[in-house]
Amino acid sequence: MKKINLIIILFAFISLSASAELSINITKGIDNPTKIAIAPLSFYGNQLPEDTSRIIEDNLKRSGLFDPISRKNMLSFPGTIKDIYFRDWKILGAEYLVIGSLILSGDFYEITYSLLEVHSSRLVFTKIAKGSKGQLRDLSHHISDEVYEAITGIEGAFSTKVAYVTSLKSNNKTLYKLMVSDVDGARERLILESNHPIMSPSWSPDAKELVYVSFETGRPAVFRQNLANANRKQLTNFRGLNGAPSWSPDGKKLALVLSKDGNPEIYTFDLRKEKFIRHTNHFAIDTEPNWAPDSKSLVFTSDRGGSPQIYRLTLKNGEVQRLTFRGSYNARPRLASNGRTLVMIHRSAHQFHIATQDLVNGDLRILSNTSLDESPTVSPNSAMLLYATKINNRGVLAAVSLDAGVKFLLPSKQGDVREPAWSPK
Amino acid sequence: MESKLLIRLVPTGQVISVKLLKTSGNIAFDRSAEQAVYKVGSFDKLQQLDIQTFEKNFRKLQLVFKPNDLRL
Repeated sequence: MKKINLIIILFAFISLSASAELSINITKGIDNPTKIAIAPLSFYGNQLPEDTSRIIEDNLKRSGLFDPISRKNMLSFPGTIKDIYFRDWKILGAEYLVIGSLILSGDFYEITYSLLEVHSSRLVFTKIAKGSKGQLRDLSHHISDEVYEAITGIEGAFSTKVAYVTSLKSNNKTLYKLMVSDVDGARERLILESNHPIMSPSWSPDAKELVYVSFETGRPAVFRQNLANANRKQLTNFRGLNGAPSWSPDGKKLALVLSKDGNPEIYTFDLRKEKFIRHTNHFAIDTEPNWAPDSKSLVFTSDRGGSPQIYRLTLKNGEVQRLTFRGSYNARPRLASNGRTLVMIHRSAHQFHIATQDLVNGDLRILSNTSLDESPTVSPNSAMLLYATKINNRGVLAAVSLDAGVKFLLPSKQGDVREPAWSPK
Repeated sequence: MESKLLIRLVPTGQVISVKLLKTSGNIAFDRSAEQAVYKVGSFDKLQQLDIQTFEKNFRKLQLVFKPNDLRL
């Protein structure tokens, strides 16, 4: 990201500055992963339940912006700054070094950790992270966030969660499960289990609740569920389609699709007043609404122009504006939190890919090289996205960075995985 | 976004020091620019220069980083 590799600069533009020192302008960088060493955490006492340094290493590696140095190549494991021999780390090619030490005080862990620049032998920061015995993973994610932000200038998203739906067939029956896990797939938790389909999970902005569609009543209905106490409430019970709920970033409303008045239209539901407002009125299918970060407009899919395309609806005045013009199929829009990057399913050459469109300059970029891709969901820092795809006829989740530089699969333990939803911060 | 660095070199081409003259306003970007210079370590081609040219132009060198193609 904000990283430059200076390879040959001498043919760059040369001009003499006023101070008579030669001045060279560098206007192009190469994005190479930053070499970083995460020394194992030092501590006294019994082995820790989690290898925090390994979790940090894996997190940074998965972001695609870092190339962590293998622990087995490290020449020393410093726990404090005075134990560091920078030469050891220069030899390994490390640009940055993270060290840390852990103490147990009562029932709490306290990790003192430092980020250092290797070439200049300079300290970037020393910070302290505290947490209970069960929070070692949270502490590791927090440290990953801090290191990532200091080096890239972008807020980290390692402390976030992902919701998804798994389905497993056995004895002619399919069991559906709504699950939540850390973004690295760890600490998977069951939220709801059903013999009927579960679809379209969407997070509340405080990441404490989910809304989703469940078919348990015999027809699709939208439910709201608290993750801490599992309290749930049915929000819709209309004839026809009740689907694709999306929680507004200000927390006040849901956008959803209802076909109670004939054909699928976009509605909002005021969560406090429990009132529905209809926003579209068109004989075409209007579906898959998603909020802009300011909660003032929605993007949605409609085939009103003859093929599925993405439109923006301004709630204040009901104005509808078409956003996509390239290709004969653009659907399932998601707006990144930067408000500028539109993520969608784009069909090209009879294959469905994840694509982004820059709403300012119109650039369209295809990010995935799998086919049959669906349900993109963007990380809260707008750096990565997750989507569902099929590999060997099995539903799996895949991740790709918004510049398409990093791609990886998140294999499921069993059954099919679909409908990922990345939690807010 | 633009960071300006002052680099001190010796006739072998080796980087002796890197100093930030003007911040871009983004600490991560400034740091990345400094790291890029440290990472080069030595501009070996400078050894081919005659010493006057080196002293005149490369003993102290200003580098301005303003990449146009940053991600994000």
